[in-house]
Amino acid sequence: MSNGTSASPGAQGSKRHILVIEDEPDIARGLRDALEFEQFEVTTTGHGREGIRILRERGSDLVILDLMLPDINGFTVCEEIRQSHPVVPIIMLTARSQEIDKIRGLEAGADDYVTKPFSIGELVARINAIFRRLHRSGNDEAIQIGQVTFHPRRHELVRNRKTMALSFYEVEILRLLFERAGEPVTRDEILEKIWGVSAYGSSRSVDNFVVKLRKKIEDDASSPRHIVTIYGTGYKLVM
Amino acid sequence: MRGVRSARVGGPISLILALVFPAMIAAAVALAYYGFKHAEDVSRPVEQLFRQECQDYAEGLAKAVEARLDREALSLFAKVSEREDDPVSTDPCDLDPGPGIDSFAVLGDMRRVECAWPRSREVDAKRRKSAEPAQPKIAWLGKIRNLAWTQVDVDNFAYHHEVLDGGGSALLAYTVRRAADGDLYHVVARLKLDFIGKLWTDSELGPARKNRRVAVLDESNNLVAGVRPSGPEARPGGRLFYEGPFGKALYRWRVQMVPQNAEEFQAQRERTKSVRRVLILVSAVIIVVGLVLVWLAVVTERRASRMKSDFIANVSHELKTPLSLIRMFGEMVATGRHKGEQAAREYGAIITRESERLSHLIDNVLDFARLERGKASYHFAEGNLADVVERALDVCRYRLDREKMKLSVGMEADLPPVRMDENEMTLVILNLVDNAIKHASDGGKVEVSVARAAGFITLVVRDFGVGISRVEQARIFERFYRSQSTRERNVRGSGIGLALVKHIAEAHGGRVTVQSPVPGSTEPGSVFTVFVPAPVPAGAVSGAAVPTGGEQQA
Repeated sequence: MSNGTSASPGAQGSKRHILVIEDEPDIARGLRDALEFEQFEVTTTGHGREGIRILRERGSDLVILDLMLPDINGFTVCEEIRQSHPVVPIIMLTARSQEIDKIRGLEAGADDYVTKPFSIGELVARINAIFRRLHRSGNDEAIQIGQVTFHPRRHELVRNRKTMALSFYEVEILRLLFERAGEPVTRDEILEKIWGVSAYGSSRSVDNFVVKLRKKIEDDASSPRHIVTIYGTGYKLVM
Repeated sequence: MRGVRSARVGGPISLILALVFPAMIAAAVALAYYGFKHAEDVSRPVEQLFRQECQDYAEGLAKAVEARLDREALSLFAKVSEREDDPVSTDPCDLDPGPGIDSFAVLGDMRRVECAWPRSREVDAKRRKSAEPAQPKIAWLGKIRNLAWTQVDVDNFAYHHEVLDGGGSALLAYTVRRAADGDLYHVVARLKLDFIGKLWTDSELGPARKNRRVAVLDESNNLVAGVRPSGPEARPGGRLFYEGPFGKALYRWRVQMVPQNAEEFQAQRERTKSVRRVLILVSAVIIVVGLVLVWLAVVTERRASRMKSDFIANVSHELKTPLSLIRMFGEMVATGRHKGEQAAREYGAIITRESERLSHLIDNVLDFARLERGKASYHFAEGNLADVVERALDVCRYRLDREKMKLSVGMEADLPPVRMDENEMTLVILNLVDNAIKHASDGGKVEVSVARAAGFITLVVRDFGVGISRVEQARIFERFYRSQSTRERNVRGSGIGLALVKHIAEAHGGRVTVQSPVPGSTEPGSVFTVFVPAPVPAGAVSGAAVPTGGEQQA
């Protein structure tokens, strides 16, 4: 069991920081070594509460979170992180692979769900893809969708003067739908373009994020006017 | 020497359910039946009950006779119809009416006698000379009055029981039929009654005669069958005297019944009531006990099912963790994603260790599955338990060193050989030491000893961890059970190790116990003791390693 934290030596200001909350010490060590090899700065902890504390105190660019932790379960950790850090991408890492767990994880605010045993190469590729997108989003302008103003760069939606935070994948999905506004975008296309590696996501993940987005954008999420379902295909953004 | 022991999962529960359900259904039916009968009985006095039973019995007797009479009459009517409808036949009475018919006559449309049977020689002679049918002479025909011809539908028949003037009675069966030409004709037959008394043998009257005297009397009070009632009750108006008509055909006959012994009858009724009360009580108890057993079985089954689900989740987690490590570090070595030779070597060591852990887990699961299916074969042979323990501990030393746990071993000298399966016994030691490493590594040491006890050799594994609560001591040998603290601390485990130990110990004719805290010790921790039967005389016991008192036995 890994207790306490360990930051990679020689961390530089330009390096992306990844917080690994994983109680199995060898997995934590492997993740740390592999991610440090990829030039990330890594902090590991084996406890959920400590992970939350580290994130509050020093922040992080991405969180890898194990679901089975000795003190509190991963879903709770995820929810607590989302309260203080609505935007930071969270990848859940766990031995569980049941669909219900994935849905629960995504509902708790996770952006991705990776089941053990996993390929470290694919995980690194996923993390790199997330950071590339985060980097790209720096030049975006505000986008008007009906009564809602979408700020991709700030990961925010403003509706009736109320500001709502968007998670990383919510921003990415909304941006993709906006780029193809008026056209149907298939679920597979969303999976491929946003998640990159199709094996990690599932159509249900897309649906789940769309449900969350509708709650924020639509006047009535049960009869959406902006993010419209195209049956059997995917979704279309109506400005 | 070889032996096979087996255990089945869910066997007792299936057996309970297989026995309980039919028992409950039988009890419910018995409860309903006897409850109904009892409620009926207690609301009626004994006399009324006696009469009801007698009436039921008399009806049964009469029905048997009437069935025979019906057969005789219907057979005759069918034969007459055949002849009436036969265009060649001129005399419908020219037939053999059957053994139960005394005589009969065929009457025309206007109920004028057309022919009769038996006929006299005189009649036959006349018939031969003349085309006109002769008037037959049947003595009883003239005496019969008021046959209710009009109340009999065509093709139906009725009985008429007539007391004759000259003594005796005649039982007539009569019918109205329609001939092929459309005319009506009538048949009236007198049935022989002398065979009725012979219908009943002792066995036929038997059921009633067990506790009753039964008599069938004709219209003149002559005994037709049975034994004439006698004794103080045998008089009309007597408390336990039954008299009723004998069915619907011979309605002028009567049936009389009295109990063989009135007191005994009453006592028997009381006994019957008591038996019914007991049966009702027993049935109710069976149903209640059955429901409780079913409830317990369901609870047990649900618990087992939940534990199995947990087990699958645990095993899945247990498999995935080493697999993840093997895959991750394997991939890192293969793709050169490491910081140097030293790191690669460490990754290799982790891969090796995790592969061993995976093999151990798979072995445990497969062994357990084998035991669960009841197909475990034990290959028993004489051997020295201390040697087996030494060899098994060699396998554990690496892990103990890695966890920085000290191992002390105490083997009593000159131990007698025991009958054991060395492989399974090795599994016992590996599991017990593995548990000590997983759950009590903070204690820093493990003590393993083998010693004599009365009739046994004991294998003792003592750890110095936090110990096991009393509640959990009672459950840790259950299949798939994982203690609360184990789950909270996220200690790896599938919940089958100790169940396996217990199974193996019992298959050797021994047992396994756990004690925590350890008696006579101020240090924390637990002690597991496996007792393996051996020819150790009581006097030869050293006592050094034998736990005493207060143990949780599995």
